[in-house]
Amino acid sequence: MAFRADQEPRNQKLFAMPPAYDANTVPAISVSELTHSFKEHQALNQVSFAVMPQTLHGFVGPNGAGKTTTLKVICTLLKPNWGEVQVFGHSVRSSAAAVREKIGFMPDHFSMYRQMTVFEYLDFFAAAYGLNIQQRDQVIGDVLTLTDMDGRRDDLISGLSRGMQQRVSLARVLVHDPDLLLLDEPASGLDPRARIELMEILRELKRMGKTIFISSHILSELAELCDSVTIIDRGHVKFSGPMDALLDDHAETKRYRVRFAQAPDEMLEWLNCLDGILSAEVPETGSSFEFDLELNAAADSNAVLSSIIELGFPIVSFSQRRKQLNQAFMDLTTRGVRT
Amino acid sequence: MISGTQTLFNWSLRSDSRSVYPHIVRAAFAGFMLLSILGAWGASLSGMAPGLKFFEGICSLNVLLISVAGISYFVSAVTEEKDSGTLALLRLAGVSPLAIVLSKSTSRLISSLMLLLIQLPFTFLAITLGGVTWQQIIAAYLALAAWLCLVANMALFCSVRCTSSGRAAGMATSALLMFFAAGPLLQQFATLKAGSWITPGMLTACASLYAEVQQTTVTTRLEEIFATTTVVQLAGTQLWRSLMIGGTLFVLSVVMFNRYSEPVEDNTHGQSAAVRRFTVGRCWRWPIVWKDFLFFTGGRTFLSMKLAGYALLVGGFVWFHQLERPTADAWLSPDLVRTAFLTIALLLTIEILLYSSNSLFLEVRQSAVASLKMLPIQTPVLLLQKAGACGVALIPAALCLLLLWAYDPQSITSLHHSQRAGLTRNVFDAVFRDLPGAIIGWLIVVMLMTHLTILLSLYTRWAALPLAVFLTAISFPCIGAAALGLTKVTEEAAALNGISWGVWFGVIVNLVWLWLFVLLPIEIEIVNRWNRLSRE
Repeated sequence: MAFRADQEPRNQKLFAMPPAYDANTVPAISVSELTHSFKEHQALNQVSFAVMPQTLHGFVGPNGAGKTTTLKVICTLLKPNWGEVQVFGHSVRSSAAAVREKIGFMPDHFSMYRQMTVFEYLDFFAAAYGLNIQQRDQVIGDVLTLTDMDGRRDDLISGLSRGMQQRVSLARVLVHDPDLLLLDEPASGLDPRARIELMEILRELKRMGKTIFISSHILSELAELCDSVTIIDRGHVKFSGPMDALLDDHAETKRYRVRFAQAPDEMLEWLNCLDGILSAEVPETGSSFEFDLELNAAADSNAVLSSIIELGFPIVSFSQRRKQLNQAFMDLTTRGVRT
Repeated sequence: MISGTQTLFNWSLRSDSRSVYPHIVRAAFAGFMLLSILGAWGASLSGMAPGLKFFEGICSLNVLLISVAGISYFVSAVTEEKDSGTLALLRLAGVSPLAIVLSKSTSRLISSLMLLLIQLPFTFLAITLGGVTWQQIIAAYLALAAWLCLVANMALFCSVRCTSSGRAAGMATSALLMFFAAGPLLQQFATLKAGSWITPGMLTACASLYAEVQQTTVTTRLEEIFATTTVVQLAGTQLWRSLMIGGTLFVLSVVMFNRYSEPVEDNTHGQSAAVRRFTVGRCWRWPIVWKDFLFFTGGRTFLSMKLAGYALLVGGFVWFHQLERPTADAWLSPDLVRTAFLTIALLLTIEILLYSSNSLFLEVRQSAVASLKMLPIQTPVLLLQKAGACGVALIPAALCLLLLWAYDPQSITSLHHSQRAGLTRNVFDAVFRDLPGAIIGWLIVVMLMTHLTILLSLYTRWAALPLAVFLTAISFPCIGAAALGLTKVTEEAAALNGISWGVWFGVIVNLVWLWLFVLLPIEIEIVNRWNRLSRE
């Protein structure tokens, strides 16, 4: 990622730092009882969630769950049958033009005019948003710097790799300096390097105060990236809230992993006898001195750790094991593709 | 090879039979034939060989439809795979070039032959109306089928040779225009007097070449069939030559397939930035006009090429006039002014139709509809800007027409009976007998056909243009009759009130009702369809 914090941004608005978060702030996206169907097919049923400004919100669901339909409603392309959707307080039904000013939408099948150069492509979209030549020069320079495409501005889009094209597409979304970015599967089809670079750009954008609503299948990266998440399945919201709330195992048990510098064969048996530990087992992967512990939800982890120390063997680490996003996803969604 | 061909062929036929549009077209054609028969029966009361007239009309429409299908439907046989990037997958699956070419072209050929077959029972009814025999009908349909074979294989060759459907359509259009223009051009050259550098041998060669071309063209063959009062020969020279040329083009397509199906290496940098700054430059105030003018219609470079091409065409007419009459003071004779005017008007019409069939269609193919919809530009404004871009690209042809008009308006507008023979004379007389009427008629046809083509291009993949031509051919008699009637009524009403410019008042009334009742509903449907596509 070539953008550096010490770089002097040319477009002050685009590169403005985020203001302090205010609890009373109007949500960037507010979806309430959104229902939509295509003929007989119920795509969305009473979908409700909210996305706070300057956060990165993941939108996850299996194929046919209703992700793209929701995105299209939010970006005003689709009028919902029922329910209310607001973007920064503007209704997508009655104030579509105001909503469009606030958002930048990158569809899953992004369109590229392949015979244009990168600069011409961005110049076209900037001009379509009514920017004059000076403003266009400034903003194109900024978005090219941000997406690390400075050196490719005169290249034909047809000659760019998929990852590069994805960056150009993202740069295009940014030319009118939207407050909210709606990205539909932005990392699909990208190799690992391009994916990591894209995530870096998204982090940078979040630091700049943009709200990012990202629909993706790449769950591990979303877990690292997102502040909050909505899981949708078969048109119903299964979970919506902070990522921590989803990943913390809020069930009856807590899970920890302990690693010793060395341990005798009887260690597993000893651990199972300690107070507060419901069960101890050797993990399928990991070193030979590692053990997974399942603690009672009411148990004090410090007390458990003290008990383990008292066993007299040097401990290398003792850490809580959080649920993986893909595990949460599997738990919350139903098997099979929706028909 | 057989298995691959069969699979592809079955798939193509199945998708054609499952799609509702081809069936609608066939049913509409059958309905149109029934209406035409009804019209011909009405005409039979006047006792003027109505069966022959009806059949002549149907055959002319078929020639037009097949030619238009060549530049829009058949040209995409292979290029649609290239456009969507699936050609490499077919080749990876081990499907041979012959199998691909055979299956992709034959299914379309069969689909089009079905359209000819469906007409046969109705056309036999023409016999009962009088003036036409069953031998003439069979001979005419054989000639049409051979023409179809020639056009389909010519388009297939363009489809194999070119990298995209747009380029293939351009190549096929040029080839067809050259084919149709070759006869009249050779005929005119053959009538020149031998001079310093035009030897008698050249003139004889032109005359014999003209005779050979005439024997290959379907229009000459049809004229010959309609003119025959005795027993007509079922399979003429045109049939065998068309099949032979079609077959040769098919073989060439197969042989050259591998050479031209390799993926094109993308040029990362294209032109240098300096050249690019001149040819493309910065985006204009109307961004869609800029984008479409430069990246859809070919931009400044292609505009200059077209300007040079049209200038050469007019220059060719001037040169021909100097050869014909070396001592003449005028640059062009009245006859040649009219010919040049008509030729350029025809080319302008073709340009308009090709632009209208691809302008929105390519946005759909490039999945750009949603992105364009998100711009702060209203859909009608966006569509107007697209039309504006095409308007800029049409400047060379329009400029040539204006120059010809300015050079000799009298020759173009005056009542004149051409000295030419046959079909050419009929066309000339029909057009120039009532030029204001012809211009208004042309405007109505072009506006209707353009609107229909744009709308249909948002529904079908490649058949928008032939469908629009067909629908215009069906609806124009009704619209034309209503326009004529209204003009007459307006003219008489104006005359009664002492208004001298009644004709122009009639023209305005016609344009208003045409827009209000015909074009506006189509425009609304185009906007609605565009909006629906943005959600898909």
